[in-house]
Amino acid sequence: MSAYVEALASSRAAGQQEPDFAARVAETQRRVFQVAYGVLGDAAEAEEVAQETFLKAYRRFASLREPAKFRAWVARIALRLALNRRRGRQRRLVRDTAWHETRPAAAPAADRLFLDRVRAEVERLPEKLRAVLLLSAVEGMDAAEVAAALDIPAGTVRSRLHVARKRLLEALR
Amino acid sequence: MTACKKQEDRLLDYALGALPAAAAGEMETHLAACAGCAAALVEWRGRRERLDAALGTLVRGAEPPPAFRARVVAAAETAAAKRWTQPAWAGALAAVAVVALAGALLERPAVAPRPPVSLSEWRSPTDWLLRTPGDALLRTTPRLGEFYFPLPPAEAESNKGGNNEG
Repeated sequence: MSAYVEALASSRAAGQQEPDFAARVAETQRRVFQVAYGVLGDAAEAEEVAQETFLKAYRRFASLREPAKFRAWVARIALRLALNRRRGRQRRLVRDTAWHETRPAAAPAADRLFLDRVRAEVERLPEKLRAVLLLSAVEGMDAAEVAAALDIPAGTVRSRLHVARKRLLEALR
Repeated sequence: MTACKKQEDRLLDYALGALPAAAAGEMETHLAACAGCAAALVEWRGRRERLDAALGTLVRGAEPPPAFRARVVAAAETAAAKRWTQPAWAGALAAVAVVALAGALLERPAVAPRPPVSLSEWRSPTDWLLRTPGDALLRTTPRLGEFYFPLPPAEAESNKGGNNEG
């Protein structure tokens, strides 16, 4: 127990981890939530992914103190966790042949049909294109932010985004 | 949509704003002269806007709940506290125990395999428990005039004499 008290005291003295961490979470929670929701299409699951992302971030917070680094890191981890969860869900869907509702309930019927088509086409895209497309649609993420999150050059982000949108437009013609 | 076949692909790139400046200039010249391509461009732009709106809905369709941040920070601190309450040496001790157990199991003398025995020679492993000093005698039935136990010759003679006398 004394080890815990000492460790906590030293971590608090060293950098006041909790207040800084809370500030980073406040700054990035919408982004993390949207990344997860974009992949999963389910608010409850997106929340679980977001929570898991921040728990991981807390453990590594000593190396993520810089805000830009934190933003890129949480977007990357949220994307990875959400994609993993989606793969698991697809396996379960195949096994249980259950229907999973993913459309926003508030949208009118015609829009919902179109959203379903768009989602289906997005899911057909190769993962590299899909990741760029989804991250680019997240609020406040420009090509540079997407590039930092995926650890690829900004030029690659722009070209992949163009290819993805072109494929979608042609598929939805 | 009656866009020129030759321009179709470039027209979509133009609608997505991805044509280099020189090619975009050429396209604008063509669009001024070609009503079909101009109409197709309007249609592509409409589709692009609809797609972008749909992508926005699919990604930004949900918001974190109001108490999310407080919950996440509390959960992170609880998890960290739990990790600290487990003494650092507990893991090391467990590892040493596992290694010792594995070592003990590996060091155990191996049972030497027995050579195969034919069925006629086989004896029960508990056979020896049933052995008695008189085993050989009990296994052989005496023939007529023989005894189970060998008698001293002198005694046998005297018995014979006694019988005759009687």
